[in-house]
Amino acid sequence: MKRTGIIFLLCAFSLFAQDAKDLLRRQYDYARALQTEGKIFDAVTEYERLICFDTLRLYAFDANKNIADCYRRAAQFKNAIRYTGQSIVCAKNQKTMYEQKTELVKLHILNRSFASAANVLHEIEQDPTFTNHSKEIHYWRGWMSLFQDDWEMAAREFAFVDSAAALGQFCLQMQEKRCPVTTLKIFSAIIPGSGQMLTGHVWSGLLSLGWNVLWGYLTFDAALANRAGDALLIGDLLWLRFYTGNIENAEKFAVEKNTLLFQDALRYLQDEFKGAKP
Amino acid sequence: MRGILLAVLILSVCAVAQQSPLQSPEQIETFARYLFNKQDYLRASEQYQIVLRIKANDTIYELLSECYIQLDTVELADTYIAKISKSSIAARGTIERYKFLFRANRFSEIISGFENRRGLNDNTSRYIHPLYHAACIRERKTTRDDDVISNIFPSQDRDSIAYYRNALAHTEKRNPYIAALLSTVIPGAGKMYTGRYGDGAMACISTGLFTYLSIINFQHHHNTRAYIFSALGGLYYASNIYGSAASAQVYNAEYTVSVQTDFDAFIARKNCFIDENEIMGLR
Repeated sequence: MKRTGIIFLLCAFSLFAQDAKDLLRRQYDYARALQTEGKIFDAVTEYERLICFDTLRLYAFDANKNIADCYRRAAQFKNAIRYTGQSIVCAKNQKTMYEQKTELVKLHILNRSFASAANVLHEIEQDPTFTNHSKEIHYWRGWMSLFQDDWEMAAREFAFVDSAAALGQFCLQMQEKRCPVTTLKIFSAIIPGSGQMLTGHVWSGLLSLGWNVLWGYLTFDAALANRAGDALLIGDLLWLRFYTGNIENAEKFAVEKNTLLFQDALRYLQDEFKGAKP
Repeated sequence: MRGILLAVLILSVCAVAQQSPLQSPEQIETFARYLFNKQDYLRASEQYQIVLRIKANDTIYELLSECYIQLDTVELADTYIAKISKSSIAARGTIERYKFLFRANRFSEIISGFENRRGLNDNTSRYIHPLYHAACIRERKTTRDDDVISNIFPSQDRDSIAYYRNALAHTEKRNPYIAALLSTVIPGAGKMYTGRYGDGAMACISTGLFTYLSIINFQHHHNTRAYIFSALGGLYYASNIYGSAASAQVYNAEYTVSVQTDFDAFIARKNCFIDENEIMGLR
């Protein structure tokens, strides 16, 4: 009886004695399952638990990388950047380090922290271990410029990458579609309302032209009739106001149109573009 | 007998097997502390809540209250501070709570809490007393006489406190009525009185020009134009009077905000007049 009890206990202990590595692996699997289920908050908690008890730092890289992924999915880019930075510190080899650095660039692009993205790309470029990645560096610089609404520069960067020819072409098309803000302002300065009309706001342009013609006529009429005070007042308070307003409007409409174009382009790239993207 | 023993053993082994070692109360507490140190107060509070279901002690209550203070849920923190049995730990929690309220600009809560002695004993009150007076100064509430304040604040800070108290009690540096009156007599003078010299000069010139043009047009019998210029001049004149009063109010508001910001920075620099070492000694 006593012997049976002891044997049973021994069996039970040997069966359930959990090896530390096995325990961590199970914790990692559990966190991963939560992440797959889309339970982001709980997944991050469990990854944090794993990091906390992983004194051997066996899962430090994977846990930090996955936490960053969770935060990225939740659009918390600042947190994602923090954990990606930590995963770089724990990178297992040069390949994973490069991958995580690229991930960091993508996150900085999404977070609109372009200076930091440029810094990381510069770091990769200067690192002698990553010399064979120059095309990828140009590719991500292209995306960085694209997110900065600088389509011309983006096309120039994509030109270095053979596989990004279509993307470069798209950028050039976008550059052509963009409204040249300064040119439109100059047009409006020469012929009031023309800048607005060229951005598609015909009615606003015509109205602007009408007001400018009216106040311009009254100003000159007063000046020619030696009514200097009237000319000064009408010219200053009315004509000048409508004239500067017409130039400001041309700029406003052009910027608005460019912003819409930019948003549409990003939406298109997000939905339709199949290649690597931030 | 053997059957019963076996059944007990199987059940106990199953119970052990079901609980992950990383989820044991000690490990959860360690994990909560880890999160707390990482300033991830939301997750830390969640973990401390789990610990609390298994074991409750003053340390857990204190840490939980600290988490809730950091998460800006003072009401929840209060419930856990109230549960702390050891007075010294409860005192620390209460002090942290009041410091948070000051940082969060919740001065009226500090004042009412102190006056109603909410969660305060004589020992805690001693620490909160300067903060209470600072809150009163911030709220421009009449505090007791200068002698009392002198005893509360350290000697080297009394002049600063007196300065801020005076500055915050008299924030109406420019009287809107005087500004309006000045602009009524001389257009633009009210704006100059509030430090906006450019605006004042422009208002003076514009009103003067319109007046001149209307007079000239009346003299030359261009009545329609004269009325238009008169109307424009009158509009400028009236709006300038209103604008001068508004400008005085803006001046006062800007002055108040700047003094308040300086005062808050001063209190923060002085760590709310609470000696951290002394507080740590309360543990």
